[in-house]
Amino acid sequence: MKKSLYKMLNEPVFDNPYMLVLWSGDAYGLEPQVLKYITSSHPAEEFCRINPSIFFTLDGVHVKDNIAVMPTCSLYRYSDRLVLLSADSPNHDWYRFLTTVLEIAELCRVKEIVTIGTMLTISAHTTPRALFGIFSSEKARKEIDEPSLGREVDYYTPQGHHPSLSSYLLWVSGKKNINAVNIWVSEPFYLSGIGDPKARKLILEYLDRRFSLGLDYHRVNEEIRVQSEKLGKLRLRTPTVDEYFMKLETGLPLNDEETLRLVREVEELFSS
Amino acid sequence: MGLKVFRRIKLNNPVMVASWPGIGNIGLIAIEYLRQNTACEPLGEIEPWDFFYPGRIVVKSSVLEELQFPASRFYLCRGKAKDIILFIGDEQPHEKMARYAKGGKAYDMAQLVIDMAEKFNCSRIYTSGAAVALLHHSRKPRVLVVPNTHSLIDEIRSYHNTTLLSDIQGKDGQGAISGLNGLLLGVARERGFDALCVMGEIPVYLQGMLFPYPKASLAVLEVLSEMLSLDINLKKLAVWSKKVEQKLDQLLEDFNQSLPIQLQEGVKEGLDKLRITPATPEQLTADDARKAIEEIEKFFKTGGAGDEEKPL
Repeated sequence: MKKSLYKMLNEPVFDNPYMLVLWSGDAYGLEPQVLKYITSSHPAEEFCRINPSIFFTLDGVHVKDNIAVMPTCSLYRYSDRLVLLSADSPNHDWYRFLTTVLEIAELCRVKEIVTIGTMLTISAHTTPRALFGIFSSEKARKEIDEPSLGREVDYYTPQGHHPSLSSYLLWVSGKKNINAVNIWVSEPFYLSGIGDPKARKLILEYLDRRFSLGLDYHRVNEEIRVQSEKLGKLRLRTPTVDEYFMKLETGLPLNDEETLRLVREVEELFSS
Repeated sequence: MGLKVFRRIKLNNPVMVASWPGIGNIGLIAIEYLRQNTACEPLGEIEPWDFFYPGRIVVKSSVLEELQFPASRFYLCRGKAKDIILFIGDEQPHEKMARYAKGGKAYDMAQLVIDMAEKFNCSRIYTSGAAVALLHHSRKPRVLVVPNTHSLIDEIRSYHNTTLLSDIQGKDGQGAISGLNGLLLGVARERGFDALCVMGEIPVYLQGMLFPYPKASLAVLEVLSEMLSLDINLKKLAVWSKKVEQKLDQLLEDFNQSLPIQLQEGVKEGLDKLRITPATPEQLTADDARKAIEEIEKFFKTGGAGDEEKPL
């Protein structure tokens, strides 16, 4: 029996939409949180499901928040200008998976694909976050005219690491001549385990501006206020941590011991 | 899923020699040495994206310039008696984090390699890898040859320093060759090609190490040179092999010194037994010898547990 790669649940109408790709297994939690935020006040309608049995090792189920779940692999209509893809990273056949995504994108006449990610930096939480764009081609770099994106990134994958699935999607999009951009937001390294609402807000503002999402920032502003207040109290009561923050604020690096101590102090603060 | 052929040309009585990484990278070093020391030219490649996850990206001025995958390339090496198509795979396609190829991906890749052999009318296919053996690293490794048809047995016996599984005590001609260096023999047989796997012996205590073992590659190349009537200068490989052997002497000496004094004699005795030619399993049944091998293997074993050619 030949398995179909995906199943259309209905036939939504789009008007040259963008496709926002949000992997649910993002190591720093940014993508699931962004998905939750933008769909909480504006539900999106699922219109297509990619067959998980082709791309995932289905040798059992994962349990998330006490619930057994299958791998996520769905496309949603958010508006006539925006398609959302929410998916776990496949276990194998990545190229076939990504070409399947692009086949559906072509069916929907998607004009640009956007992914997001986190770039950890040696900086303080009081330093403004920044956005960087990595483009699928020189043509995409020219056509995606977004002044808020840093556009002079030079990078290669360090030894022992692998490219992200977003980078792989960027490359496959380039081969198919579809414009694509990875948007990376900077985040202080010591917030990677607990989340960085300032980074998230910057991404949300970017997506809102480009896709007219009409977001309400009240909740994320509140998260920023609470986190800033807690970190402020931590530096007041722990002079060593204050010293580390000051070093980072003035562009000085921390040594390994200081780095570990700062991460531990911050994680303890937010776990209590 | 594709095979790309760069040039269509008529070859002279061609054969194919293929290898993928494995224990001690024995086959791969042998084939790579052949490539570097003969006048070879690129002949084709297997498109990587159906088999591998990319290993590296290069971004310049915010534009994705390059996505690099493990390569699977064919080269043409013109010989006096026959032309040779070399195939070198940077990685074995694997699923579920296994170290060596298995399942559908491995089978698909083997089919593409055979497609290439078919396109150029190769008369025979050779693969190469490692054979884990009860052997001391100071001894010259034998070369175990496994064919995919009985009709090659007599020919194999006619080459120097070769052995068949049936020649090894206790094996009765039975065994297994893991990964693509073995699977290709089976797929070749399905498709009607004669094929054989040429495996250099590697000491059992080195099978988990992550560094190369050129001494076995040298033995493999000596046999392949005879099989393919190649005139190839093996001096550089011999020099490298000697250096690795000296390094191993030093490492084992350091290891023995690091043991409690009451264990040192036993380990030394166990290793010394492996110096005897030919080693047989019976010679290693003594507790001290077995313990010595286990300890040394632990000492060297820094990588994964998967094995490739493990016929012994």
